[in-house]
Amino acid sequence: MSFLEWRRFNFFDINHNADSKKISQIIGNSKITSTSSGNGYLVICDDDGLVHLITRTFQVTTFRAYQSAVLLATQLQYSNFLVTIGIDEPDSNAILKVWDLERRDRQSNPICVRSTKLSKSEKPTTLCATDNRLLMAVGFVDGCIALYKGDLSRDRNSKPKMLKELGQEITGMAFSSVIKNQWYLFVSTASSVQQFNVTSKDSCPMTILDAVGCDFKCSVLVNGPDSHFMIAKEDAIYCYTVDSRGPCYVVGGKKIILQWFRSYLIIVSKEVEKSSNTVTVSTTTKNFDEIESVSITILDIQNKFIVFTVTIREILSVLPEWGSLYILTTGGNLSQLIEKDLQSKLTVLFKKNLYDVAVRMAKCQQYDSQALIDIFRQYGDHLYTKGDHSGAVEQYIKTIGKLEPSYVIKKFLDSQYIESLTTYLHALHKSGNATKDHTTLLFNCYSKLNSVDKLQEFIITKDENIDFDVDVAIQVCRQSSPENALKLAEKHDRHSLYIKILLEDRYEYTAALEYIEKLSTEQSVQTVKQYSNVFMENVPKETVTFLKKLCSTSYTSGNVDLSDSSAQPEDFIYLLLDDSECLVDFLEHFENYLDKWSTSLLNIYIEHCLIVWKNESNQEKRTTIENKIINILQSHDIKTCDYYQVLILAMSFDFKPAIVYIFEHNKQYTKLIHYYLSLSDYSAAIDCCRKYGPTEPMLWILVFNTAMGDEMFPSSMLEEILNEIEKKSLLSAHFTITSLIKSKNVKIGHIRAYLTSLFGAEKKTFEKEKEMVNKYQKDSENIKNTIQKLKNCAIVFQGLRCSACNNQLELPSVHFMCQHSYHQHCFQAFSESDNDCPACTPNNKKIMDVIRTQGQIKDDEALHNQLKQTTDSFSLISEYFGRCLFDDPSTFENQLAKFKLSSPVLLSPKLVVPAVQTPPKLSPILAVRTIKPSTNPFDEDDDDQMRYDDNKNPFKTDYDETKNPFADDM
Amino acid sequence: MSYAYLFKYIIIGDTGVGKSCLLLQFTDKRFQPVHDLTIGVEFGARLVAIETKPIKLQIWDTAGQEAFRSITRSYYRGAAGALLVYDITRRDTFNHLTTWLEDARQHSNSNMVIMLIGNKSDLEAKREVKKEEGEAFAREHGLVFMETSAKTSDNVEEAFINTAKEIYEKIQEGVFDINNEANGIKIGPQHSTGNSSIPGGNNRASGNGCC
Repeated sequence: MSFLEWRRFNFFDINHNADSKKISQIIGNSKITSTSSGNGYLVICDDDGLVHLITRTFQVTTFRAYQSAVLLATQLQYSNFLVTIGIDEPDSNAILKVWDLERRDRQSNPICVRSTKLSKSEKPTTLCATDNRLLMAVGFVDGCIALYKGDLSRDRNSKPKMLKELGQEITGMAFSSVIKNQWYLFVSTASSVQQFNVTSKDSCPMTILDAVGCDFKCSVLVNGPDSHFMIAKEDAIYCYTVDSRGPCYVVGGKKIILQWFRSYLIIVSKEVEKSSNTVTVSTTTKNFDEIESVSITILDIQNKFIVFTVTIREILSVLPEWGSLYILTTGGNLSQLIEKDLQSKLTVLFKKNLYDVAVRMAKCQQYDSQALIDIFRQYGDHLYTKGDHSGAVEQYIKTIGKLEPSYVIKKFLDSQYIESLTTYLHALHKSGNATKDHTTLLFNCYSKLNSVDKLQEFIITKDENIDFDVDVAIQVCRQSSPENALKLAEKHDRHSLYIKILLEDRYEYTAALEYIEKLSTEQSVQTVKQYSNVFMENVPKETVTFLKKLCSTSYTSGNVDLSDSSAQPEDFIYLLLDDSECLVDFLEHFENYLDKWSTSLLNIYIEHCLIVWKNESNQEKRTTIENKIINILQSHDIKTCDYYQVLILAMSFDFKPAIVYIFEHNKQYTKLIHYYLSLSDYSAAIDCCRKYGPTEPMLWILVFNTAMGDEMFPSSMLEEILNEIEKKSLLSAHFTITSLIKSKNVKIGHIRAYLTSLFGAEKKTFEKEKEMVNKYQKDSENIKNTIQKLKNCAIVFQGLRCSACNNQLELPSVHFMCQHSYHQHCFQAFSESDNDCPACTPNNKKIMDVIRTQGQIKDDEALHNQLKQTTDSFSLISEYFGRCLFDDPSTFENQLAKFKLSSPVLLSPKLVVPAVQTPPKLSPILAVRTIKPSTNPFDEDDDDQMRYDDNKNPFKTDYDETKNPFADDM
Repeated sequence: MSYAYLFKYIIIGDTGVGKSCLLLQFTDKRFQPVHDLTIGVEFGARLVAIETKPIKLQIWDTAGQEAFRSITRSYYRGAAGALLVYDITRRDTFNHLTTWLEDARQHSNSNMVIMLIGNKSDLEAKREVKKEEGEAFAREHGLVFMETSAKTSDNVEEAFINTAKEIYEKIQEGVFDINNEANGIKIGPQHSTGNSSIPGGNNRASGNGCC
């Protein structure tokens, strides 16, 4: 009954007589007192004081440790130290020895590195040490525990710490370290389990864990993350953690040995019920001899099954070493238990169809995922053949990710398994391993199963975990249930698909529009662009309304970038091109944002306005449109409004207001007048002339010329034109009259006024000039007389006062022809040279300088250049003449010299020399007149009324470019 | 893994009522349809929060079979709470409740909070014990009652947490002597010192505190 509930397997192979009887030979008649294993050795001690070290190849090293007997031995697990307690001499305290198995003496015996006599005379019962060699404990028969601290391989005379007496012999001890550097000592007696915290140096507090105890060798420490101290009682195995009781496993039978190997619990127990051949059932377990027939059972605690059981006589100890278990009997027979490899274990399980167990075990042993999946697959296959399809699918689902899904799908393709298939596919999607085909298949399954709800659930509840190709899903859904497809599309932002379904399958155009409206601008623009044609065909009005909204967002949003993302009205214009009225309506929606319109948009708008205007019969509406267009033109600056484009449009539509406006705006008055004239709108042309004539007189000439050629030109207006031409002297009278003569329809009545005023003016001019001639003649006559006088007559110096000091003139005095007289001393004081009159010198000097500079200009080369460049060579030449530049320079110099030589007349009281000298040819006054720069010798007078008018000069440099009718662009 | 208190629970009831499944659902949040019989006592733990205090629940899941009764009995001692489970689809498990209750009362400390659980509430079609009967039994014996389903995890969480709440309340009322570990309550490592709100929670031996 003991293992009734545990599953049984056989995961171990037993190898009897593993040592070829070597051990039994060595031991001979001695009795084995203690065994241990670790660090590559099996250690067997006997009552003769010998220690036998057995290597893996069963080579035995025997050395004498004690003279009398070895009582206890512990081989450290991972270090080369062996701790023994034995007796050298009877009736003395036992001696604790530590052996270094690496260091050997000449007889190749290990060296004893420490030998300490135990402080108590009582019999030691248990011995344990930690692997780091820092802690060691010896338990005594009276319940005392001696705790040794510090490096136990050193022979130090440190006194052991005696722990609290428990009053009962110590049956088991184990050091455990759950947390780093926290050491606990589990101690079991026959009737209690307790724990000492041996971390601190001074106190070792005890915690009683339970009031049950165990026999010798019936306790074991399980190291690992959840470290347990296990004790075996007759009814069960109890586990303890450092602070409390743990689980317990019910295993019947009287336990003799408890051992731990890998993840297995090894129990050696007496077969109480079965073993009828058991000779004695001893209540005191001191003597191993009494054990005759016992069974060894290996338990897998985690998976809860018995992995091995065998009956062997006289088991003395179970030693784990070299990756397997060794069972030593009292007689020195050694049997080896070898664990089967995982694959053969799994094969056993597969044979029994215990796949779940196999999986659990494989997982426990860190089996790789590929192999695990293979188990799942086998499990699935097994369930499948058994007909448990849903169960099989459950297993197959676990293979997702590694196993090719088609392997599974193929098995379930039969329509009766469709439900299982659906489950599998669903899981496949959940794990994100589904391909397009799987999605298609799943959706088809759903539709075949008629489980629209499930499908919907799948679609709607789809979270991030379930991944499938949405596009495929939509495609599949579309065929079966457009509603689901729609939901799917909506959920996954497949807007374009959503719209497509709406439009192509359900013809719900308005709904589609509403849907688009909800989207972000960017998305809606894309979608609308894609399907705009369809919308326009079916729901034009709604579409336009929608587009209006859409596009206005792009304006209201503020940043109008020309990227594709925002909705530009331009993008949708092509939809409405056929319907100008609609287009105009559409564009007018954005009137408020006119300033943001692009040029092309504006042009299109104007164009379509014009189309509407043209087709409009209602005069009132026409006027409204006219005003609108003009308003637009007026409100726009030249940057956005392409006037030429508009002009062409206006021309092609004969839209007069715009044409006029643009001409005016561009100051192309000439063109404007041409336009007017081409329309035979003469009064408007004249108006235009009146308006812009002051700035651009040429307009009048233009009108005049046209009037001359055009028979239709109303002659009544001619009068005004002529008047203007005359007033502004736009045309020479000769030309005007010639033109007038050529014209056929000009009546004399119309030009009479012109002619009259023309002739009147001519006459006046003539008279004026005549007067001037007379005046100049008189002047020259006077000058001639003066010269004559100076040349021929005596000059009387009548000056009474000195021109310098203004005092009465006294002799000696100096007189000049210029009628200035000076005291001689005054003259000498003032004059710079003897020959010049100080009063006149500055003036004369100026004149002389001017004359000199004029002379310097003279250069043939320069003149020729100038002549080449200038168009009016005549005036240039005349200017040169005027400056006397063609005179012989030498004569000029002579003249100058003569002029200078006119020495003054010195009057002294004694010598009065009447100065009769050659006067200078030119009087100072005359000279001034002649050399006045800029004076054209052909000019009649300075203050001539017929001044040269700059305006008349077409080559004037500051000519306004804008007035040039040939200017190619603005 | 710091906690303010550690409560020890024990789950008892007839074999096959779903004790292990309740524990598995509570600790691992999964359900195993085929579960081996519990042999002996199993062990589970989970950290929960009661009034924002982290509380570790240490749960002993006992074997229900009569044969193991003697072993499981020893675990009553040192449990602060007990979940007495019966199967609503099996009348006999309900009938045995009195025996279980007597057992529990006899072997546990008197303050142990016992919650009556009617498990397998998902199998409504096979129900043999009415909910009202369970409620009546609980009222009669001063237990808290709840129907759960370890399969659907319905009420499982609540069952464990409500028990913990009740224990916590009792601690606040001072009913439990938290210094006596036999009551199945332990103060967490860092809460052992200087927690004045707990009556008597002062002179804990440092050796025990850090275990």
